[in-house]
Amino acid sequence: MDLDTSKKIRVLLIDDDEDDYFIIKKIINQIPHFPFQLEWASTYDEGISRIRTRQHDLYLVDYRLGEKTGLDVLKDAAPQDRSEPFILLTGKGDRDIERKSMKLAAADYLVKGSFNADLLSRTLHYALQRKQIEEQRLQHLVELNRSKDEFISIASHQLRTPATGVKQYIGMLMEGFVGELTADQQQMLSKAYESNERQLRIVSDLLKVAQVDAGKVKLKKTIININELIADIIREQKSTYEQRHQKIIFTPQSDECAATIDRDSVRMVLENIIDNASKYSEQDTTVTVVTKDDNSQVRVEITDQGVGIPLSEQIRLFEKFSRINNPLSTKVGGTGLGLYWAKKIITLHEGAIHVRSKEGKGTTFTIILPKKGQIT
Amino acid sequence: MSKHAKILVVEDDVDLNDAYRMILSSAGHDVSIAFSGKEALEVIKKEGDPAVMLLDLRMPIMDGIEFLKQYDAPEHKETTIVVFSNYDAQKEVDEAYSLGAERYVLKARAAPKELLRIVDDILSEKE
Repeated sequence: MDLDTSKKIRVLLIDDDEDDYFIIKKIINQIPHFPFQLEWASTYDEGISRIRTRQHDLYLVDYRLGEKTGLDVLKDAAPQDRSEPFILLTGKGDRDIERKSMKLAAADYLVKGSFNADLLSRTLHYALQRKQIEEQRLQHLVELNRSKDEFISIASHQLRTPATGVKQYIGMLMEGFVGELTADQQQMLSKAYESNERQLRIVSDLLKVAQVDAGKVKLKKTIININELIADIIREQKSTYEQRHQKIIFTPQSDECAATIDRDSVRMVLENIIDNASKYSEQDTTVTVVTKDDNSQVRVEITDQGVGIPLSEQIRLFEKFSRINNPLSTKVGGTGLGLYWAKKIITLHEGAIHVRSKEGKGTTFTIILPKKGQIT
Repeated sequence: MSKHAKILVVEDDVDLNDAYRMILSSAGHDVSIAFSGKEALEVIKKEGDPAVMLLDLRMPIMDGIEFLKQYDAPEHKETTIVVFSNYDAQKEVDEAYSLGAERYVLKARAAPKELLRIVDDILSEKE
């Protein structure tokens, strides 16, 4: 891998001492074939604004910059996120500064007055080369990740078709398309149907997560009355709650809880949490949903009297594939993707999702959604 | 079942195509089938416009989007096209809508009775 030598490498020196500029310019001009072109920014502010223009290939940053230091430049410019290397210059060898600059992702460190054209040339070239290799590795990882997302997406879609076939044929049998069934037959088919439904849900969850991970989720935000949305979800889940002998109580504390959200995705998040509240609770328990509108945000609290989540497990709750062991988790059989996705979606809305829970007592999920936001 | 109508199923998966045909026929509908957009065009040429069309998007030979372009759906107002796909890619669905499809159903969500309900709903809207 060779650096392109056909055009000059643009180096920006950020240094408040004009003498330093002339000295370094002189040394750089002694490098054979003049590969470098030196430019100069004499203050911290000028340096930062010229770094932002991204016109240079490499930065030499003096440690002393008036009230600021070269470390401030590193902090603000974030070399780890950039493809150009930063090299720190200082008046004398200082181990502490050296360590700090490396932590802030400086590529190297030079002591002023102690380098000649040969050393400077080597340092600059090596820094550039290392950064280039790093970039290529990063690029490779990005591509690898993309092909992983693509693979999950294709594989999941492929799995959907045969499972849809199973759904149709078992569905036809259950609905009496080819004659009456005995109670036993009906029961077995119903189990097969439910298993297949679970498989379809896993496929959907995988697809949703792959999409959000790939940054492909586009929110279509409009102003939505959260109270209406929740009332609608509860209406839909009412029969499920009744089957499980559980109650659900909705108490809006504000007349209107309008938030600027993507209706479909937030609905799925709320559906998931309200359904979980029931799934992780025993019979004869109650789930309460409370909404509140305070001028800047809408707060939704969903509280159950269920099995609860141990404190040690609460931190893992929103991680991908996290399955929490509790007396009902094997019966429920979730994918460990629902809350991961929920958090991603709420974060995309610049909102927040929290959990409070006590083992054996119950859990409260709090979702905070910003009222204002750009309608998209 | 309220009404019987002419329905065209365009689906490349043989088992699904079979299932949809059986489900819809059992309710008394007059069902035609096609396994690609190209076949669908041929069936329509021979049999005329159906009242309802279930259209898969991803199919070999001619996919659903290309079919919609060639069929020129807005010119066939009597036909209601339901995109019946397992690909919930928003872009593709939006494109189908812009080409004249009127509904979108995720195949994996539609059990036999839902399929019949969707068709019934469309037919009663037409009344």
